[in-house]
Amino acid sequence: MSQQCHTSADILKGSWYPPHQYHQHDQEKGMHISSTLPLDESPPKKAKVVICGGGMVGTSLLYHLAELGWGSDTVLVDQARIGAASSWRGSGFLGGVKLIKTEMNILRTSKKLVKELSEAGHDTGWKQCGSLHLARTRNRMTHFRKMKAIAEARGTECYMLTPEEVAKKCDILHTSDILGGMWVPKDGACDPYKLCYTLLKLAIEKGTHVVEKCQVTRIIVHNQRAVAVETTKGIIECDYVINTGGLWARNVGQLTEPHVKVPVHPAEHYFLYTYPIEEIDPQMPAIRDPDGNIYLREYNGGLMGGGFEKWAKPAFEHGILPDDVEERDQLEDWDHFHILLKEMLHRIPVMKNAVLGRLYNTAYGFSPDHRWIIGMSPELSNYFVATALRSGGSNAAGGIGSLLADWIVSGISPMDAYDLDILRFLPAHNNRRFLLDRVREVPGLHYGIAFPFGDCETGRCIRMSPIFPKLKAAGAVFGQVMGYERPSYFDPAKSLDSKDAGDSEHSEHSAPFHMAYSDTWTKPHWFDFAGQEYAACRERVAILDYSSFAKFDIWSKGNEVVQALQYLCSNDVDIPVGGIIHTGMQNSHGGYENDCSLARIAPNHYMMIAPSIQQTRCSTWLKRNLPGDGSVVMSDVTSMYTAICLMGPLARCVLSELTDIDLSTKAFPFFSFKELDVGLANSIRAMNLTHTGELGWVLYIPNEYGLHVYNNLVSIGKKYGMRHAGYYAMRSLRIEKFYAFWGQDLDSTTTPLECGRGFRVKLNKDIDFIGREALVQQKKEGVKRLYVQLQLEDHDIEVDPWAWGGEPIYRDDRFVGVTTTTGYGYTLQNLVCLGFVRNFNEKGEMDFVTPEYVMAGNYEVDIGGVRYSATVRLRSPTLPTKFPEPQLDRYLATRISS
Amino acid sequence: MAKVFTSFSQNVRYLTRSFEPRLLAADLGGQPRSKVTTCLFSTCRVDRTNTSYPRPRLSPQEVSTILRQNEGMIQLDSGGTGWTEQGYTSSGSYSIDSVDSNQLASNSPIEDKLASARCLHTTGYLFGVFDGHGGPECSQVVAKRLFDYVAAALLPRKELRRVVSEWEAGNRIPLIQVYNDPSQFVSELQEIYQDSFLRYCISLLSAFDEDFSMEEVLIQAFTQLDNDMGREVKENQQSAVLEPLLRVALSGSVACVAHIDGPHLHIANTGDCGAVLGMQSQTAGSGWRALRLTRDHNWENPDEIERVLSEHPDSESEHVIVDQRLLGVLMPFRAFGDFRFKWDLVTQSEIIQRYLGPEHLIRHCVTPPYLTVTPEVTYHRLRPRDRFLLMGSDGLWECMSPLDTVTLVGEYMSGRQTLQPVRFPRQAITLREVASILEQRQKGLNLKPVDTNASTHLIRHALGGSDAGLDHARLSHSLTLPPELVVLNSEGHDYQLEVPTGTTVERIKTMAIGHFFNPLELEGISVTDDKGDTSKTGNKSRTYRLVLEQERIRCEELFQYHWNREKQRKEQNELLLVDGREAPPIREPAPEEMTIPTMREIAEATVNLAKRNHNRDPDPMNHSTDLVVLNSEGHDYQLEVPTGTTVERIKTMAIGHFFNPLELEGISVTDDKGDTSKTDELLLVDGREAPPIREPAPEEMTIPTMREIAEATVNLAKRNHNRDPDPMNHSTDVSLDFLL
Repeated sequence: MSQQCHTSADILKGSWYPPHQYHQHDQEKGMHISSTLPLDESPPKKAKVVICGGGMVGTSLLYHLAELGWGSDTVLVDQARIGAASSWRGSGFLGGVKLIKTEMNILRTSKKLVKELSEAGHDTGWKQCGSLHLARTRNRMTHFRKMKAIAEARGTECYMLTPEEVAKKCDILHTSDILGGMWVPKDGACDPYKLCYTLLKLAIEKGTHVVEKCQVTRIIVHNQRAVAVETTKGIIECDYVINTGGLWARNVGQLTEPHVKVPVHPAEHYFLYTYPIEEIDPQMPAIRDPDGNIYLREYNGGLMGGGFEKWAKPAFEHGILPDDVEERDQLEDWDHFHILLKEMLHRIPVMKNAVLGRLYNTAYGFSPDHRWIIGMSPELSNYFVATALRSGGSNAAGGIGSLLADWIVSGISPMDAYDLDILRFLPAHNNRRFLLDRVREVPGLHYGIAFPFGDCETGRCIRMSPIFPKLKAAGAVFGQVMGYERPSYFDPAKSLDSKDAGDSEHSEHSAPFHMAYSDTWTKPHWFDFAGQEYAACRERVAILDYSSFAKFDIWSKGNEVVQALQYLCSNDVDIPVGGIIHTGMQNSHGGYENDCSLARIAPNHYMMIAPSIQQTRCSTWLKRNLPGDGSVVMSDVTSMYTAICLMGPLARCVLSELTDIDLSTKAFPFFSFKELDVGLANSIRAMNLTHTGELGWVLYIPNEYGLHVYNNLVSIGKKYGMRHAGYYAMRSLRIEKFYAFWGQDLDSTTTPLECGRGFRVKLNKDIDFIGREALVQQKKEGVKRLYVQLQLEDHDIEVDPWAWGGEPIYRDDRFVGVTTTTGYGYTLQNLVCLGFVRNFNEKGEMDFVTPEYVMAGNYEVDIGGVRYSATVRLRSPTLPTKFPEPQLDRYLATRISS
Repeated sequence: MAKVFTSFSQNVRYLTRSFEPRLLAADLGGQPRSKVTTCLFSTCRVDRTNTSYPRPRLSPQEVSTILRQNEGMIQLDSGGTGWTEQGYTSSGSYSIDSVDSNQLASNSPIEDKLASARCLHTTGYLFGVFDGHGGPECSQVVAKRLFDYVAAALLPRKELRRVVSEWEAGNRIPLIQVYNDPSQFVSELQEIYQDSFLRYCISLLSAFDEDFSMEEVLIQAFTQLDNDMGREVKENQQSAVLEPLLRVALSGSVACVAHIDGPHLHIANTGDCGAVLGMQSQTAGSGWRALRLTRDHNWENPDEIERVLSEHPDSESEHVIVDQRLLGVLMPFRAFGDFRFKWDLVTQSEIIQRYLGPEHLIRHCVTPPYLTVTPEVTYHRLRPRDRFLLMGSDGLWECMSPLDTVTLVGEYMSGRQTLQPVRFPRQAITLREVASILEQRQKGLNLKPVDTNASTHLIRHALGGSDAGLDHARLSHSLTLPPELVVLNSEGHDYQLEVPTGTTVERIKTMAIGHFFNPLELEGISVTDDKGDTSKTGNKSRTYRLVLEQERIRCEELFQYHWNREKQRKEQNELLLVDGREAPPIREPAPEEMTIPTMREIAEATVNLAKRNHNRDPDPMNHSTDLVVLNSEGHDYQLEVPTGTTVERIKTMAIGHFFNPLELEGISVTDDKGDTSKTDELLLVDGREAPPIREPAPEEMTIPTMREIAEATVNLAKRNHNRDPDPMNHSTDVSLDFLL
């Protein structure tokens, strides 16, 4: 590493960039990148791909497209000078451990890229110094152990260290307050500026076009495709538009009509550079101290540090972003940074002696849930987005660029992570004030402990069902899903009916709002509440709010809707009117794009119910695949209906008192639908299914009737001991009954054959549908993974850490897969994990998996480094019940026949 | 409950709650800094120890409303707009950032006055505190007139000539811009005053042209104004405004005036107001130091006693200072007005006897003048660590030590300055230093006070401060005092006491004894309840008497000094008559007792200090030698001691200061010189126990429910009629009939 020292004058002028050879050269001559690399004066008239934004991810994508041979057809435009220090500034960390597979893969790809470039002799500043993650709390240690478990299972070398061992790895660390650390020896760090420069240089050598000071003014849309990009230097006709606008991405999104909604908001992010100090070893590990919200590394002989403070400061709060990238660096707020500085000086005491180099306050774009935003926009099918990289550009850009380049060139989506996909957002998320509110909290989430059911405190109470005040008054504790406040569980002590609240001044509407949280890896504090609700669902009757579910009406004049849905769905949807069918919508690989229930309301009219998180994804998939002639009409009616689920053996009794219709099994069988009058309200779509395998009805009630129906149900329900139940109870029910949920268990790579739903695929009929070919092929060949239910055996729920998803599954001591969703089975009386079992051969490739193979193994689930043995199941269990429903009990949501 | 109590003396004062303008002026590396004004009152620290207050009668909002009633704030432009067009540099303003002021009335009408103004034709600023006595008239008039006198004397001759000719032509161009004072004199008075002022200006023009001296300017302005006030009475005996003129001349006012021009700070002080400079300690930001810039002109100041005594024949020495007062009447030894102490006997008989009657003459007034207005002028050149100037009337200094006030305001300021972005020096700075600076700022942020005005902040803490921070109950209590009781000594001098509800007469007597008498001399004191004898008791037989209201009439003739309206004010109150303590003998300190530098040593040490504008020691009040008082628990208190104080006196003060006089028994004073060599005298005295922190009983803590409030206030509108509409008497300025 260069030990050269910049002059203090440079720093004070604010013009100090990391002292790279070329850059110093530039500085001395007052030149920019444009003087060392052949940038284009103006963009070409036509290109395949236009990349809007020359930050790290834009540069990486440019490089990867060039690598794939699209170099001469790709143009990158940026409104400012390319290579401005603030757009290529970052920690330079490479590697790290993530629980989400796609995220981890992206990080690995980035690291691999940088390593390869360095080995090829390019200047990236790469050093394999390892990364050291410090834990100050037991919960953090558990978190690390979980991360280590999954990382090791997937082949990343990873060690847990004692404080003494940590001190040995890096002797300048203060270690008396830490409980241990996680050491990832193959991780490293690079110089982000050098890396980007190299990528840009290589991309330009392969013929890509790069135009600076070229502002995008409009993106012209035709037939739901972006056809041209209008810039201040001319119009570029194009096949693909990529929005890599960073913190400007939301604004770039608004240059199209309709707007592409990219929910990012800038927040201040700090980088501190010091002058060199003697004690620093150039090979010191990259330090992450998440409990102190900071990271630190060696940089040019000094230290560089940054952090993700618990409460961040939004930047450009008034919504007006600067045109000039240089203005992205804002006046530094030392008082705000003080919290982080204290932690840094605490962690590395010798840092106190270091002379201040410069503190940068650079604005970065953050998404509402702190994860990256990647993918094809729901609005336009050739418009891609890659943004909200936080400040981790160097770590993620390489992998994201590679992923997107593959996607664009091959035309096949490799995007299987719901958590990163732009389709996880609703238009509601793009509200600027919401983003402003939320962004204060978002950066801090990055270094927070990812406890189960993580939620945000800001931006709450946006979407609420009409019965929300009632639920609140009934003691509901809410979690947020897609902006919807959904009761997670009910705490009777918080209810207005409770004794404590007897003479409280709260009326229904002023009842306090409680947010659900779980701050432990072990048994959560709401365990008993969920248990009581679970019991009510299984043994008496419970009332649940399903309003957040995505709901669509699909219809046509004639038979077209049936034709269209037969093509879209893998199950045979031509069912009798009044019937309901569960079906997937597959992509061409047979993977689930959507998993839904269709109720046939009329011969030419279906109502579709999909998981809450699928709202945007569903409608995007339907829109893109329904006939282009407009013969089939789809309407998102999510916000028009209040959905109340009445669940449990006594549900029939309760509902019978409020309606004249015969609810007997014979007259209103399972998986059927009727429009009912309930109480004094009418037109209520009642569906006899519960999504959890219990007897019950979901009532889709036009919003204006919602309160009336709810009040009636509650008042009748009293007689039957009806309880409110929340999402946690429902989740336990469905995990125990082995029901897979899209976005949690299933993703766009999972096929029905892999998850025990072959019985829902109409392969035996001669009806074509998307993915049929792939499924036929797969049926012939066999599957490479199978969806299983594992019931832990020797796990003590009081003592041991719980599985919360993402735990490695071992079969006969070999890693075979990862749990997806997990929960406590109140009937099975132990933790139940759902997940996939694969069969890796010696080479690490996936072999075919048969039910026999699955059943023959001995299974263990690794929770934070301890393996618990488990029994395996391939079909939904039959749980004992006092109220047998023969028809229901025959239905198994998941079944694989051996 | 009032117990007046200061760090250094235990003399009794008028229990005026007075005001303190605090100015805060400083520069740090050329950065403007703030300046603050505040005002105070008197409070009793005795009660800090163990009194539990009843449930607060005022809500925090009500308290704040009362405290902020007289708040004033001036934010000065650092650019110094307003004079640049007149060709002056803006150097006058850069040292001043802002002025905060406040006053809390103890008398009605309020007798204290604050003034701030900018000189329009020169580059300085003027700030003043005027604490009136014997009526508000003199302080009002002085506050309004004095700055013009100063400003005129500051003008270059040429400029002054122009001003005079303009004035003579009827164009009364203003010399100063006054902040926050819209009031005006009635036209008859205005005419008289302007005439006097013009005469003064002309006399300035014709005066012998000597070297400019700020000190001379200030002294001249003070004396000239005072002379004019006396002369105006004599010359306008036929005028319709004689009565107000007379009232101005017969009431009095002490004054403390600061002139700040760039780094040059001059303080002119007459009487017992005070100014203190707040300095940040050199060790980065840890702690504050107080530099007193004024000396009190009263009985506490040996030099003053000597001066007064030397001005009168020895035969009078028994009467000149009686009971710590000038002629047994007047507390301050220098003041504006009070012409019964200044006029020669002929004038007195002409005017006072003629218009007021012989009973208004002062007894023993044989060789006037006894009183002078000549101020003592101090110069101080502002340094970077001088952060603010505090000016206040004696009410402030009676309840807080200069160091306490400076620390309070200093911390307050750190809170304020953190609102501005931090800037680090340009040279290399280590992260340790960065962190330490930020730490300081953080402290300031955490301490961010509720008040935006430093003066209010100071008052709030003076009234409500307790060991554990602000005590709302105390604050509320201090602001809702019952009618005042008056304590008379046998000569009829009265002291007003503020008594908490539920205080017994016994307790008041105890307090009075503790207050008026040296605790070391307590033994042998007997308290009786003898209502018979009002005659003066002998020095040794100390008897104290309680006089009830009806007896008060008999004492009426003892009131030489109060306007008739005071009678009505006090008619309903119980009256306590207690014997007064004699002034302790003034003892020449033996040389060996001198433990602090002599004036000569100071002069030698400071010989190289910048000497501009003054002929005397630039910093006569330099209390560089801090004495440390330790209590038995090792807590130390720093004292700043006026020159000439003896060790015995300090011990006495320390005991009086740190111990409840009522709990004196068993206290031993030792003189341990072992630990600290050098010149410091270490006093080790036994500590009294920290008062137990009392958990408030639940019923005191509970906030009334909405229902209780509703019930309690159901007839509020009606019931309020029966109550004193203004129990606090905190009206700002009662409109005087000669003020519009």
